Amino acid sequence: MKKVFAVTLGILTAIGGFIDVGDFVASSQAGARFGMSLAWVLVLGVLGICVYSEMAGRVTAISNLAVFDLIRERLGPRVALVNLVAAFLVTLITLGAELGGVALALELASGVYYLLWVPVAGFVLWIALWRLKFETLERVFGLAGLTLVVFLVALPHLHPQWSSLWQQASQPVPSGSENWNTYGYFAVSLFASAMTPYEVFFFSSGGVEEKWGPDELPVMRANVFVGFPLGGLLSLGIMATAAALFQPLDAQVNSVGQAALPVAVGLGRVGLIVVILGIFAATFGAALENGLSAGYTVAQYFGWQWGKRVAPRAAARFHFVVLLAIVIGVLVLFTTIDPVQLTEFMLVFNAVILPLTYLPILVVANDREYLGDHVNGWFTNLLATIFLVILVIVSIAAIPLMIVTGMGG
Amino acid sequence: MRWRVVLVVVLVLVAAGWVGLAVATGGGTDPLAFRQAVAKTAQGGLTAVRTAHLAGQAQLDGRMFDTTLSPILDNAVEGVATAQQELAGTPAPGAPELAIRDQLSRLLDDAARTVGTLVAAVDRNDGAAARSAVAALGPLGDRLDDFARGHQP
Repeated sequence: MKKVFAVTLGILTAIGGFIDVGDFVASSQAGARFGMSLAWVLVLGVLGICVYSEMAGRVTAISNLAVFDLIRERLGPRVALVNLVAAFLVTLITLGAELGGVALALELASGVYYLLWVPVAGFVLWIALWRLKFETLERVFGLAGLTLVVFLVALPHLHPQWSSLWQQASQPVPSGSENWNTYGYFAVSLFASAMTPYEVFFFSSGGVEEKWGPDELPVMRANVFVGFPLGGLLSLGIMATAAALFQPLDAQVNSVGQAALPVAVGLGRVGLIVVILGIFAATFGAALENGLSAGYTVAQYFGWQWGKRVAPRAAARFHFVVLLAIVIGVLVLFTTIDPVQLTEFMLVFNAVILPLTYLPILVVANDREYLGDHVNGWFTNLLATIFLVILVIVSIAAIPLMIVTGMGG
Repeated sequence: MRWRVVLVVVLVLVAAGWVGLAVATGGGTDPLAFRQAVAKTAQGGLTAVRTAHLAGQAQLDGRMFDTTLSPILDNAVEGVATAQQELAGTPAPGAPELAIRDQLSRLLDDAARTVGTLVAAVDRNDGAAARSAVAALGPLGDRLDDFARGHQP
């Protein structure tokens, strides 16, 4: 019974923790502009994150080492440094975007300008990372993020034309006045939102924090193969509500307030309260994960003591990097860059570094020195190789598509 | 010696690229670029008007909080202002384009006025004025939509 409870709790946490500001923005924008015709990208992205998260989780459970530890050990310090710099910079941008999402959720709740909330959000984030236990951080915000299921509840209340949504989903082509370039740009953004690199760093480092061993493999797989796809369903719900409300009006989504509007229209004030809570929980939870991921990557590369399980005094450098990342995230937002625009940048740069993150995981997951009999089977390698090719294509296409379309136009 | 040649070649290429870029962007807007800019501007105005309409209607139906409506309307006001600014910075290459620009400019002026009226009505808690502004935003959105559809590049 206790095991069933642990598995269920893990799955629910994985569902709620799946969504972050990138998923929220990319799914809303894609739904408003292309209806459900980009839904296949989300499905593909979720499948990809499942394949690689399972590998990262398995590597951690068997070797008791996190991804960055292994990257440095297996690929050497020079290659790992390139990886570290890219991953750290993108994690900083992502942290800034998530903090912006938290501030925008607070603005929707209070009416107070979001920039005034940014330092408050940064301070509370630091306190939470300093004081709270790892399990508490993960569970509370993961479970609260589940409230985003309100998008799926709101969808029938918007009276969409179901046949039209299905037709869009089954015809993956640009609709109306849109062209293939913008279609490609949003496909890249959506794919990157589903396969965000920090999720893997956090997932594998979290495995070390929670002391996973071979016995935890079934629970880890349940989280990945049940929790992540159901989390992806929430993204599809966000996309579908935007498609139902905005696409028939030819209106685009360029703010978080707009993205929450379908729930208010469909469910009224109760729905609005729930969706604002959901946005806050999802973005704050993701900010926590990014703050920790920034510390994890640097500390693991340099071989410092790291983690929430270690007393802050013993992992002072790890906690300093976490604090530094939060300060930089706050300063990025103080440049007055629009948080939604920052999120769009974040998705593009995430797309660029995707192969750098996932290739080493594939390499290590095939290394018998670390994994013994738990190395990848042929089917996993086939899937992983197909996804690696997709990751490389997405990585190469991201910047040119951003330039050609003027960030989606 | 060789690095000096490389340096000179690189400098010449950079200078040529710079001059090329200046020539390409300095000769005014070509009709296609104008149409693209107008379509983008019209889309920005349309999005702002539709959003203000949806949010305003939700408020009138008791589905929205003042605290949530305020930032959404602020974004709509900013959206219309940005569209107006972009249009003002888009020179028309000929007489037909000038007429198009004037047409969109009038629509955006209407949008700025109507969204502004809604914001003021909400601030004053004036239900009648808010209802009237929301009612006007619907047809205005349709006109902007027709314009945007009719002027795709």
